[in-house]
Amino acid sequence: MLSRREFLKLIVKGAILGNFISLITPELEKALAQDEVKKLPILMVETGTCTGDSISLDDIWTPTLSDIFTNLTEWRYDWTMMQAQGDLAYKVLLETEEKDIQDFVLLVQGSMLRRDNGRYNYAGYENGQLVTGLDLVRRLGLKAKYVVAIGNCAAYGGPVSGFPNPTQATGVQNILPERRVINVSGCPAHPDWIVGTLLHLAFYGEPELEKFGRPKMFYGETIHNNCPRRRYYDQGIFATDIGQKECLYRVGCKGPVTYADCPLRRWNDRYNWPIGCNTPCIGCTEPGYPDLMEPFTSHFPDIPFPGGSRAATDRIGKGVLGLATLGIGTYFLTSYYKGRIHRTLLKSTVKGKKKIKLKKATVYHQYRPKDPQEE
Amino acid sequence: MSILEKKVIFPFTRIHNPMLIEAYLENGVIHDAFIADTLYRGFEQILVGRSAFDMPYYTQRICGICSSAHALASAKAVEQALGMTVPPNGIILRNLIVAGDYLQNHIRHFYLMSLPDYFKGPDLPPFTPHLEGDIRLTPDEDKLLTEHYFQSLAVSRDAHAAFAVFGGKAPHGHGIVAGGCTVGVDADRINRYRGYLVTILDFINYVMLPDVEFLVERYPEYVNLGKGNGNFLSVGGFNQPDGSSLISEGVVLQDKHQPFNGDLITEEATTAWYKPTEPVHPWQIRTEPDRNQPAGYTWNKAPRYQGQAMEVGPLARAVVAKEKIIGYGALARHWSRVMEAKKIAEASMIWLKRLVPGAETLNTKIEQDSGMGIGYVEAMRGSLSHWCKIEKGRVKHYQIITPSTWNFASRDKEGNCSVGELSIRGLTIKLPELKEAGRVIRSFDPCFSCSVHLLDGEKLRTLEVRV
Repeated sequence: MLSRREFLKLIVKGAILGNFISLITPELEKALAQDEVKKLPILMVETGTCTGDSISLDDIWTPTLSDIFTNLTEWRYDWTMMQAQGDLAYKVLLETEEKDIQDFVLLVQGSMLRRDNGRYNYAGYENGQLVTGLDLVRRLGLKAKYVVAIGNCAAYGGPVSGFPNPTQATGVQNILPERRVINVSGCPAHPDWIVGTLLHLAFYGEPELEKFGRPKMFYGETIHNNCPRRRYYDQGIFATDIGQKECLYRVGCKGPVTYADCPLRRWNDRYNWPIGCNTPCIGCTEPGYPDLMEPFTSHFPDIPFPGGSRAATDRIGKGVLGLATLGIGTYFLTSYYKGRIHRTLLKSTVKGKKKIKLKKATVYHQYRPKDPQEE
Repeated sequence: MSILEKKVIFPFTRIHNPMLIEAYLENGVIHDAFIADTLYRGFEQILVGRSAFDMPYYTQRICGICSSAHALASAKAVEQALGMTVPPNGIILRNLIVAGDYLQNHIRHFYLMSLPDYFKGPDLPPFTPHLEGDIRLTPDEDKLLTEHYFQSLAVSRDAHAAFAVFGGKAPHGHGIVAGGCTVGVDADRINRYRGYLVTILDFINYVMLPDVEFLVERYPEYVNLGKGNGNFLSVGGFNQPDGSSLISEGVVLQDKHQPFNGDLITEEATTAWYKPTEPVHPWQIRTEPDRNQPAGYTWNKAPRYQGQAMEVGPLARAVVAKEKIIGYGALARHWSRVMEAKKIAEASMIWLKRLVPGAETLNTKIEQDSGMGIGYVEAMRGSLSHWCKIEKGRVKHYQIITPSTWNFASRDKEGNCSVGELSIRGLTIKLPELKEAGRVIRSFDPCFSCSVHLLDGEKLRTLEVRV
């Protein structure tokens, strides 16, 4: 019998040594045989992707990949890692699909190409027929215990779905409306985000997700909130061009609208990250990336609509003006409804003894729509 | 007359992205083979209309393992089009970023992608089910190579960390932009990069070189098995501030050395899933995807140099530069790749010393807002070229030919096939799942996420954003 404490010790040892051969000890083998340690069977399906997420996963600093393969998961099907090829490899996928139904984790990398019923991307070969990535992900997705979409492409469509979206690319959630998809977004996703999510699934089940389906523990706060250059922003000191050390907001930083923990976590040995190399954040974890985030190094939102950018910028300007007018209008209306204008007018015009008493407002910003959860 | 046996290998694993091989065997010998790419994303069309300065970031998303090469090629194209000049420090910094990516790619390709063809590995996924047969190693040697396999993971991530010292993050870094590199030079960063480099250089000298020579010793016939067609191309790479470059450019057509001339490159689509086009230069090509093209079998177009299919990659670079090679087959390509990794790591040491702390690395001044530019870069797996036409700061025309498009192109009008398809012709197959063909094809380091893209497709739908 192996206690949990002993097992953890083994894992720590493996992470330090990074050498998995010394790791398969008799105790661990026994524990695995007794099903005390349930390893997560993984099937990774690559669709419309650049395989950047596989490469990013290889860059993981801790735990090592050898530890992940040995103790945390059964990394069964992954085009970039597995030794087998052809039917021998595909058989692994079919067997897992049949035997471990509702037990395996489906990792999807790459966007779903919907044009021509998905014929722009094939991901399998069965009984003499090619299987499209679209069909394969839908089929496996309904049988998997968890579906994890890694990278912005799989999560929201990503760069492949940029205008004019020639392949009608979209995220996995859009083609699997029946079930929840855990989105580990990013371009590429940080290896810690991928493995952290997998470990949460293995040990504690589904992590808490935010509104776009991303785990809250990694995507809970904006880049802007934790940015080391926040003090420059607060003092109004802005860089005028990329390559400068001040706040990059004016040269197109999308940190204020991007939810990720890059400033704290950093990339590749935790030394550097995009803003650390004097370039703006390009918002790669957000839905709408890259079209809503472009141009990457300019301040104004500029969406490449057909017909040129200038019209688009004007339209956005008009939109902002419209919103502002609406906002001011609403404020006046609400104020009128609440009697605030009345009182203010009275206050300024009626003088002397006839000054009426003003009721103190109990809640500030009364006119803001209430959060349904508060009630 | 014997009957041809058809064999389809899909998924062809351990390369980047889907590759399908349809081989026709005659008495166990590959008579003919078609190599198809089954993924199409349409990057060249997506790029049109975007800001020219976004190109180094956007084009990186074409490929996850050679991202910095795309960034450098597009930065060079944009610089040429807009008349920008890069400060000397910026040139060296960009070389260092790409060198980090090169080392990462060469180490990963040799250990993660190719070695599993030659050793058995441990009995756990993803090594199981084993690709059995023709393993000429003792159990102890197998164990040693397994240890090196996992060691290589640690070293290749060091190489990516070296990339990130000046590149921000890897893959898909931020450091390379049109006009230079955004990071300043200081002793801390140089120290950090040097630290990673020393580890990598040690690994190459004491582990990787002996390993490749060990494989050559055990599998001697693979040194000349899987030869190309004798045409080699290199567009030159790693420019240095004094005007020279580490990787020289040139063309070898059947043993005849020639200077490289970019005007002689043509591209055509006859047997690919595009509307058929005549061979034209990438500036003029107008192609539309057509999935129902009856003659089509792949998404790769057919680039040619003087009408000839070319081989690109570390072996081609060595042949063009008249460096030492050990043959023209599968293991010779691996050997050249390892030697090149050593050469680049040593050159990076020298570049580090040439950096001037505090000096300018970025110059974003532009001469004009419209123009045409070409970015030629020797990427990890061969020649990469970006053709870019800019009008008023926006991209009007973008065309890319990647290394894997050269090596695994579709057939042209005359039926001439690419180097990749030619290399496995005549191969005797004895092992399951065409293992021998796998060994040969992986020696090219194919990357199919790169090789497919298009130019002008039909306009399909307006911007769609899912929230």
